[in-house]
Amino acid sequence: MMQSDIKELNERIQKESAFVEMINMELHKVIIGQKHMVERLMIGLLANGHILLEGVPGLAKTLAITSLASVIDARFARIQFTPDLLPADLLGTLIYSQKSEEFVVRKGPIFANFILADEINRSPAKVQSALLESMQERQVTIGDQTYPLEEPFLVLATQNPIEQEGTYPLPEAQVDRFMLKVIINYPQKEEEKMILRQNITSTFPKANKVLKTSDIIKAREVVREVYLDEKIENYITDIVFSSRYPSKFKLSKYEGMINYGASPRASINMALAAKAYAFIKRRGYVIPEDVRAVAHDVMRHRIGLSYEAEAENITTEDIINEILNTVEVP
Amino acid sequence: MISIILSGVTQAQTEATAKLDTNSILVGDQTGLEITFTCPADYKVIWPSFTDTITGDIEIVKKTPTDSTRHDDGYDKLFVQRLIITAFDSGYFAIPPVSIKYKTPDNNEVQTAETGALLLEVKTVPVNLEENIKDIKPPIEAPFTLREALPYILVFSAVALLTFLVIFFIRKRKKAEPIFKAPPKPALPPHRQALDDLESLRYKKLWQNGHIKEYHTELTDIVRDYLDAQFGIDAPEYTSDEIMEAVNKTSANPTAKQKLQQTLTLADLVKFAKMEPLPLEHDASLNNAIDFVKETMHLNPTTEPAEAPLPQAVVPKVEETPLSEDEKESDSGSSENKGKEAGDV
Repeated sequence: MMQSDIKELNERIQKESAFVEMINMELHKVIIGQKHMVERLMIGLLANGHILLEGVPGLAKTLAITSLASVIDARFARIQFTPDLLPADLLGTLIYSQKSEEFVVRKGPIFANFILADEINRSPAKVQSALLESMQERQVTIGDQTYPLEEPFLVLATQNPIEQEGTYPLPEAQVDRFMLKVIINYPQKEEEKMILRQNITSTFPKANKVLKTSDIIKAREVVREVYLDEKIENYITDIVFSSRYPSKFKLSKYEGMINYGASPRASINMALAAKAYAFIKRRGYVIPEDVRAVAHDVMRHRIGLSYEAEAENITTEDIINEILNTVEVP
Repeated sequence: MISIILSGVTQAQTEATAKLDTNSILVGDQTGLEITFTCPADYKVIWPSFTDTITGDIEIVKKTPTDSTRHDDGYDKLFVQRLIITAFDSGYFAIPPVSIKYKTPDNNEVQTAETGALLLEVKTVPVNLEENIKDIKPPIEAPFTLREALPYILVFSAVALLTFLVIFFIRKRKKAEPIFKAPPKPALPPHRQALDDLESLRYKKLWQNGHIKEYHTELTDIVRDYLDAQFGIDAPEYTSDEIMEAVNKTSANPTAKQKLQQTLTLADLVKFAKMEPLPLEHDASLNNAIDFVKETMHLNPTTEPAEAPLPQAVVPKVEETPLSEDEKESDSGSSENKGKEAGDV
């Protein structure tokens, strides 16, 4: 890519990324605060990656996703994961039609653009597997027929970190399929007051449709074109490698603390998320700030801690912070 | 008759004696046999030489050299030799007389004086036959002396030293290090180091040879190292925004901060957005870095005062004419815009 190409791309992005501002404005009509979460939802949407949201109940996780679906003219489905949910309830099944005397396909709720998999850890492994396979393959097989899922296809799964009883924690291999794991925190005091005021009035604000799915697909193409220099590639690989071989990156103190480091999927997703972040910031090229901005969300579910780390109260957040503070910025 | 008389006189002047320390020893025990001969001082004495035995049964263990002393009267001379003898068979053994030959000064004839014969009793160890047979006693352990250990200690030390030297030499060779290191140079103060590095970067002529990215990378690395050493900001691990955030917390003046911002922004564009700045911008970026260092070098109390004149920014600068206050304001405004434009690519 030449200098002039980047300049041209930069100009294009200035124009094409204007809708991000519109979505933000519409979403913030409904959701107060949670800027980080909304920004991550946009990254997932633009980088074509699924998102796992984790937070205690009542932090507007579901509201954020339903609102995002409502500002885009797209099909939205909410699936409440329960212990008795079956894969067929999710994907669809073959039903015998007495009228036509043959089996007909009844597609499940997964055939939508935005899927809200609420409390994903409440369903057993077979249902989680069915969803995660569809997320990866972006297609569903019912009977002997395979159906591609409509683009954009974005799964936003939520899970509650507090409850452990009656839950089926997602296996590491399946968590890895989520591009980002976003931790949602409580709102600020001022924000909470505004939430309170908004909810006690008779009219609850509603987000308007401002975008079509085709706009998202088009924006995704532009995001992929965002220039990622080799220096940034090296920076990303250094960050990911430091989670695998900490002692090679002056992080010997974490040598026995990490069971397994981030996978190559982490590198890919970090690059894609950084591109999307640069797009949101209306830039045609990625800078180290973009990588650092998404590093936590990309890596936190991809690092496995050892018992020693747990005994010493070391979290993945501590490790990622230390990695970012140690790996040299290009 | 006269010779007989003379001989008798002579005989009377010499006396040979042999004396045992004890005449009764156990088998294998040692005892001393002292042979003495007294004669006038001017006599020539031919002392007998002993081999390692006196008789077949009595062995000489040790013999002292023959010693001669004068008598107190100054006239006679006394010859003494002491033998340590032993015997390994029991019984009574006769020690034969020892013949000592001598010559008088007035007669060249060899004459002989003899000691008396002695009897040595060698007793066996009393054995009680009624008792059980006992095992032979083991050899008595002699204490290990330093003298005996010394050769081993020396050989071991020499081998250890040689091994250490060989390993040391091989390691140094592997690392391609000199065998003897010169003492390290005292560390330069951060601003001096940064200014030296910036000047050497200028003379490398990187951007002039098309290595634009390397030039700006090295430039920002120097600035980052300076911030780390001068202010304790972990700049090598910070992004440009984080660096500016940290620098904004210092007491650096706004102009210096702005210059640093311009250097970092341009470097980011070059490094991550393939921007190719104008030739003047390359030098301006370096000059901004130099100015930033100069303007902030006194902020940290640990900074040593500059000893030598600081290198001047000698790069072609745009000719400047004195500006009025209004013009200065508008100029600073335009430089900000320029920075923004660069940021926009």
